[in-house]
Amino acid sequence: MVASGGSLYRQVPVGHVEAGLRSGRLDAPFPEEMNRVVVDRLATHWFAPTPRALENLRHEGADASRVTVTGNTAIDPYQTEGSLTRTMYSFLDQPAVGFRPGTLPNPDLRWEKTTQMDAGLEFTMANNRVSGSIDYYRADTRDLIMERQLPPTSGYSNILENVGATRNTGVEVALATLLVQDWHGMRWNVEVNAAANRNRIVRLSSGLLSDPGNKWFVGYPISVAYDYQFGGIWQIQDSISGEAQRYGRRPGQIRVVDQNGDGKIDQNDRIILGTTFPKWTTSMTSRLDCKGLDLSVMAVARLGFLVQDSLRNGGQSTLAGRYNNIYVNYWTPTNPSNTEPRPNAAQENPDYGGIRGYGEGSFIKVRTITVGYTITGGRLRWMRARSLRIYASALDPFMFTQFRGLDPESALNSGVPSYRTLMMGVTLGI
Amino acid sequence: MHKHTIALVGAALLAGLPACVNLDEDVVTGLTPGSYGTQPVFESLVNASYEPLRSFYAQERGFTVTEFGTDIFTKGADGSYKYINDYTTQLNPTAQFVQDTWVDFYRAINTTNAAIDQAPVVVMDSALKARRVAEARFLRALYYFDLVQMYGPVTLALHETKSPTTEATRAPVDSVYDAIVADLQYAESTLPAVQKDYGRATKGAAQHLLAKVYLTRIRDADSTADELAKRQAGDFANAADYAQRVINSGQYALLPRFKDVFDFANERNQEVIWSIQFTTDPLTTGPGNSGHLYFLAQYDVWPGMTRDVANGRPFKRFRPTWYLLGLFDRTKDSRYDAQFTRVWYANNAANIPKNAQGVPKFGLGDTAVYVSTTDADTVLARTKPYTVFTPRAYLGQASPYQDNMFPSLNKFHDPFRSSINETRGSRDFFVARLADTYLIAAEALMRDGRPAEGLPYINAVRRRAAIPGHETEMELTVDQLTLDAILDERARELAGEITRWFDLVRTHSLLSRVRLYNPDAKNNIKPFHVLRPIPQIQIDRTSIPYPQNPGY
Repeated sequence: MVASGGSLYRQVPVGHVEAGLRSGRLDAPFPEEMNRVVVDRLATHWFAPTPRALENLRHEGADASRVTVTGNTAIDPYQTEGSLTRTMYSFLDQPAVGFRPGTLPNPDLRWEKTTQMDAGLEFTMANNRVSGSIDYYRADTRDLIMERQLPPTSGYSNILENVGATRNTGVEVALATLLVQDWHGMRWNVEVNAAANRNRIVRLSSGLLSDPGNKWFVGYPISVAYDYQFGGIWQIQDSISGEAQRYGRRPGQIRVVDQNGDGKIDQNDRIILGTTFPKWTTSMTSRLDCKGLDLSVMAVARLGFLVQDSLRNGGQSTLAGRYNNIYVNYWTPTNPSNTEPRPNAAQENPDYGGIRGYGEGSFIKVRTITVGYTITGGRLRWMRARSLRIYASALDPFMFTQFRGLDPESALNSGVPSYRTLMMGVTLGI
Repeated sequence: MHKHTIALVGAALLAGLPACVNLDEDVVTGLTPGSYGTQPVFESLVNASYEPLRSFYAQERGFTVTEFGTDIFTKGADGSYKYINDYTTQLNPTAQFVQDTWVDFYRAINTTNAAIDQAPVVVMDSALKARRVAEARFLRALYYFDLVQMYGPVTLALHETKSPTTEATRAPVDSVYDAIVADLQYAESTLPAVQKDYGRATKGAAQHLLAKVYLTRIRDADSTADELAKRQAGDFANAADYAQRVINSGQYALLPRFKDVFDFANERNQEVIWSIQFTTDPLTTGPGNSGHLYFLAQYDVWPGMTRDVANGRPFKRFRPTWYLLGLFDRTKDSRYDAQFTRVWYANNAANIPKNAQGVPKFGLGDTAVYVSTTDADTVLARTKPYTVFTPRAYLGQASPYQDNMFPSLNKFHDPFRSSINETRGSRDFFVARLADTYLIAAEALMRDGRPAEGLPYINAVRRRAAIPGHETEMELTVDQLTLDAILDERARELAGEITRWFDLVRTHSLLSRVRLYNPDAKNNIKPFHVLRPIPQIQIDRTSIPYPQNPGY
């Protein structure tokens, strides 16, 4: 990290291996997360272990063309040999230290391999006032290394294994235009980037087509929500018609969609509700200069992905009357809400309460707006300065989304919304 | 200038951040499952086999799945697991305790298997090695015994998992019990009567558990057929035999007074055959014995009271049923007053109520909260300055008292915790105690058609429980010795000791008794509830079909 700081100062390009890994909390794991965030900011080339890490970097504004997805590097030496975990008990009030099998050895673990095909087109036109590129890539990963969940009867919960093959295909489009070159001293640049990535599992080494224990399904992305589908709230008329009783339900309870229509809700009624990978990510930057005045705007968008709203799926919406609850339109016999169940002090959480939280997370965020005014020349001679810039800038000032929770962007991580920051400043050049 | 700044910041960061700081994981690198075989590693595997006991016994998990949803306790106030009492649809394959018990016990079983598999190659004193293997087999039997009682047919793994497997099958209940009996017979014949390290498994512990296993072993879902099959297989005779071996061993004795059994100052008393160990040292006590939390009523919100270490932290989860409170003839039986706390004394001068002249109505140390045994005391509520709670039978309530105030089982009361809200208590948790062994002997002999032989054992427990001078009145006659009488006696003697749900299931009386005595569960409980659901994660992660228990 220090080296990268020094390099930045010396303007030496910095490449970061294991870039883009994020837990979403700066203090955990400590200090890795903090180091990675800082170094990723300083780096000019990124080597990301997973498509998800690539996604994180792109999201933080990294130039995607300088990110390479390398495959997994996080295999510690000796990790394939298994390990023991320390335990503590006591006999005669004295410590009785023990060791139990902790992780299972996997001597067959192989390197993860990725072959990638890229095709690209770069172009400029209209006297270089429009330039852009279109890139297409297809990355096939074999022997993908991931934690595989094991049946608890094995005595272990998971093992690091080569679990199968995935394919990432994507398109990236970049367009930079100089809309106005010089019109009464005005200059206006606009840059647009857009990327689409499709990730899917091609094959599982278990030979299965669906592996609900790991939530891996051939033909679907590696990260999906596999759960029951929220079907509203059981209403009084459902009870009169006898349908609610058929499912052992009462009016006011959450209704789960009976996917196979067999008249009961069980494990077979879970479906793939969606993926947390967005269909599209785009960003747009606009910069306008006019006679010392500058205005720049940057906006980003993530479109077509599923999030779990941590406010609604559990702890903040228990409707049990014991803890504070977010304000929701809950069901009562006279208020036949179809979105939230009836309050019930006899249970700490509503049945199937977790599935209320799934929702479309698409959003457009204005990341920054900066307005500045720069003075140069003779007027500054009295203060022996070459230039003076006064500016105001807003970070994350606006968000456009249909998501009901706090922030669809952070819902992927900790659920804490991003801050809206207003800054004003003066820069003096001497 | 800039260069210096960066160097300084860098130095500060390097100094402040040594490597990865992750305190959760305690992995010993270089020590891998394939490489052990030395005595210290073998012994640490055996030690590690004990630790998962603390994930279930003396924890909310164990209390909830064995005391909730029975005839003796129903839900109080608060808590996340009321559905286990109520048998609602939330008692399903994703229920947390159902899943956690499964995961932790199979991890424990793999640990015991690792120790047992290792033993042949370990070079050490052969007698000591056999003893350690016997401990591991005792523990493996106990884990399987709890699993088979909760889930019915379960995966039977008797060797360490060496390579990742996603296949698992459910072994018939009979094979699981055969394995349990084989383990316990080995343990019984190998373990010493006394272990130098108090807390390790002993011969008496193995005999007691074996007696209970024989008594519990279900051979048929139909109770009449089961009774016959068990008698023919000799289960009752075996249970009686092993229980009598414990009783006649001379190692243990019933204490003269019931209330002394749970005397904190004498927790390693003669009546305790085997207990799970907890200490006052936070480094060795793990999660501690948290039993002090759950049975305690909310004494601390009434005038003159505040929460303190001496009185405890009230989670008010388990509320006694009418049936349990009605079991005690309080003129003869000391156990009601001995195990239920009903009076709390003022410990907070600041909120003692004052009369019109501003004089406190009572002083520190005076009665502030009184949970009366009788509705006759309802009038006290108006005449006494302290707060009085009565059972309120006259209201026709489904459960006595109210959901946060009731007589509080005090077997696990712990006034020696380091702070008011400390959950880790230091009491040992008795898994096998001699009064239970006596009741097992009485029941086994009675069900084997020898009630006259069984009678002295239940009467020994009843005489001991008598208020002095009433010993003879406490005795039962042979005609009174029925299965119901034994279940009633077990409720009086063993309430709260993580055995009730098991007792009801093994005697085929869960449904009938819950329907009679547990008002919150009686309308929901169905015949399939005699087994818990197989955790969904087991089914999802197994690559071949892993059948769910019927009904879930």
